[in-house]
Amino acid sequence: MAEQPDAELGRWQDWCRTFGFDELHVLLFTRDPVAHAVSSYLQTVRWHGQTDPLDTYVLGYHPPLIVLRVLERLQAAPWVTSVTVRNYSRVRERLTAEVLDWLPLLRDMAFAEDTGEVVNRGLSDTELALVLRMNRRSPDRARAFAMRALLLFPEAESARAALARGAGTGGFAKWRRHGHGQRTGPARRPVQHRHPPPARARGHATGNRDHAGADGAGVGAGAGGSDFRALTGSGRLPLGRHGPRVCLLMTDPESAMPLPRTATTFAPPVMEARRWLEGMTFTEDRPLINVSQAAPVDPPPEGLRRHIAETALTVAEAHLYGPVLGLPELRDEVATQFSAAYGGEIAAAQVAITSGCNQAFCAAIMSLCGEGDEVILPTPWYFNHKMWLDMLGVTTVPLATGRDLLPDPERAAALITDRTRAIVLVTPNNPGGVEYPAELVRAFFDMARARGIALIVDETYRDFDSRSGAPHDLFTDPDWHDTLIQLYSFSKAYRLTGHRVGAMITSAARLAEAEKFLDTVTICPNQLGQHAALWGMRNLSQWLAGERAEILDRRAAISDHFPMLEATGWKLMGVGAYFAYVEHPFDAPSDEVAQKLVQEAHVLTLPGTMFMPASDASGQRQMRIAFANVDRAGIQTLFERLKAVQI
Amino acid sequence: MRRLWVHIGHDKTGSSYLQSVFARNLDMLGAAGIAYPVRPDLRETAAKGQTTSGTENGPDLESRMAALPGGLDVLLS
Repeated sequence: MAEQPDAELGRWQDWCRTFGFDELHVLLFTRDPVAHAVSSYLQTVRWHGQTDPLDTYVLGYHPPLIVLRVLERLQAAPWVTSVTVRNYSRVRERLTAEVLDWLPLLRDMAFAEDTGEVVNRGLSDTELALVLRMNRRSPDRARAFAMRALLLFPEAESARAALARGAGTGGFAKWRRHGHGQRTGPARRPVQHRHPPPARARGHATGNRDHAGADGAGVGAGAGGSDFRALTGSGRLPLGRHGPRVCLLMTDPESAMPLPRTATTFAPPVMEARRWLEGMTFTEDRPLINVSQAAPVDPPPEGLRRHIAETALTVAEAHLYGPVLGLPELRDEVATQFSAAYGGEIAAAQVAITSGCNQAFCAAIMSLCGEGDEVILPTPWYFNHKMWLDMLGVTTVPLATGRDLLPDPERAAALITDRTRAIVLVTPNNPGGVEYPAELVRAFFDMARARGIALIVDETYRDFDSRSGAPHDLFTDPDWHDTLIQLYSFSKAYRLTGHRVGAMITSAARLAEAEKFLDTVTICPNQLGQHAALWGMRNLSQWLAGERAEILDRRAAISDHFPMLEATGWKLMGVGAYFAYVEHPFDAPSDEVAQKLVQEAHVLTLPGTMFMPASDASGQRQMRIAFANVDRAGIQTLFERLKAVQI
Repeated sequence: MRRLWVHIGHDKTGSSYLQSVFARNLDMLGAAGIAYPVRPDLRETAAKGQTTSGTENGPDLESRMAALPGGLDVLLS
């Protein structure tokens, strides 16, 4: 199949005709490439006289491409009824069960599994060292030795070898290439080294009788060889500055201890950006303009602060545990006001108060996803969404948007698999600034419902939407809660960022699931913050309208002043909510540009790379400007500074 | 309805192990209406857990399949 897929598929078609098969089902196990490469390599050492080190072997390793080719052919063959692909690396402990699931067997049937003998364990570390060395002298004797060792020590532990770049710093490096250990015969094309091995390495090749072209072959040309000098070395690992680019490590990705959850994602971008300010001094005539974070810097209005103080003094419960899903009066207020605003029916039982909108997102995902499930995020994404999915072992499926930063429901539909659990929309968008048209949100809702997945709509910035009236009509559907999970934040509206109050609006049944998570993590949302949010909702609508007008004026200032930047090659991709999302004109990736802007313009922005998967290069050209804290005059100053920058 | 079930590996994904399991469970497969046309002389070897090539994709595979009762599904590995 691997060598001649078309010929093999032709045979299968013949068999269907000749033997009367009505259906043809195919089962393929794939494997994580690193583990597979190592396993294949060990196999070539044991049975096929391999003398090359692992790093040389992997340079010519290409089975994943063959697998892709075979899968394409299988999909194109109409006589193949189904193709089942399982990743061996994930299911190796339940291989037989996977096959039982695939075959149409009776429910209670179970294969007898215990063969009493080991089928084919990998080479142990010691065997690997010995056989590799013996292969240089006599592959036949090496093979005989390997076979005998397999029979004598069936339980020996396989080498847990994997590849890692720059492994020299890890302290587990087991060998290195040096000198020329290759067997006699026509010279092979040497492996290209960025740095040639050090000259002193030459001497170590002595003792290898087979090595050709003793000295003149030169260090660089002999790069294909290796030996195991380091294997028995006592901590004297020969890893100088010119050490190997690739080493054998004692880590098997399939059997290694799982990473701590926090190690599966990146560091908080806002903190990283703050570190760019370290060591900088900003002058009074050219102070720092910080447009990195989307947060009001001023405290809540005085009336709200007084209410918080009075509540702290007079309401005893405000200091104690409260209901997990939040203050009943606040849930009720949200239900009433949102029902009116969106023209639908939202019950208090369908509203949960959370410790900020980030926690609302986390709770929603917890109620939807298991490990290995998938969630679709349009890009550029909100990085905390990505981080939470990473830490849960949920796969983020990026949905690239176009120049208008609007996601396409049809492209999203094409990304849905049987593991997809939700699509997440943020509107008005962070970081893109764009407000998603009501019809677009509706199209996503209809598609999500049709495909049986949830639609999460994060409306943190709804109070600053430039449109009057409801920004979408999803709540007018009486069954909205079978698909929709709406998220909201009180932080931006009432400047309560430090009190951590958000909301999650969905079915009461899902909230009962989320309750398990919320109870475990925070027990209840901050009580003072909830009282503050409630007072804000009841008393600050006029004030909030003024806040919105101010933000919309700043947004207009962005558009008004942007032509000055356009002249130097900047492009405005989206503006709204608290954000302008722009393309910079420089021939450098945005994370470098952002640091240059700190140094040269005293402006702190966030680079697009923080909102994109590394695989999407467009993030390198983009930046987010969070303008909420910069007034009209400040925006002009900001743009004048950016305009002057040359990189 | 007759069905053909093909397990195509690939290498280093437990194929030898599974082929050994299949060889040890011909009866159970048969009870479920599935024939596994392993070469008779290799059945013991495979069942013992040693590496074989499963139902061996050689020139005699067709004749082994032709010899199977027509009502059974066929599993190849």
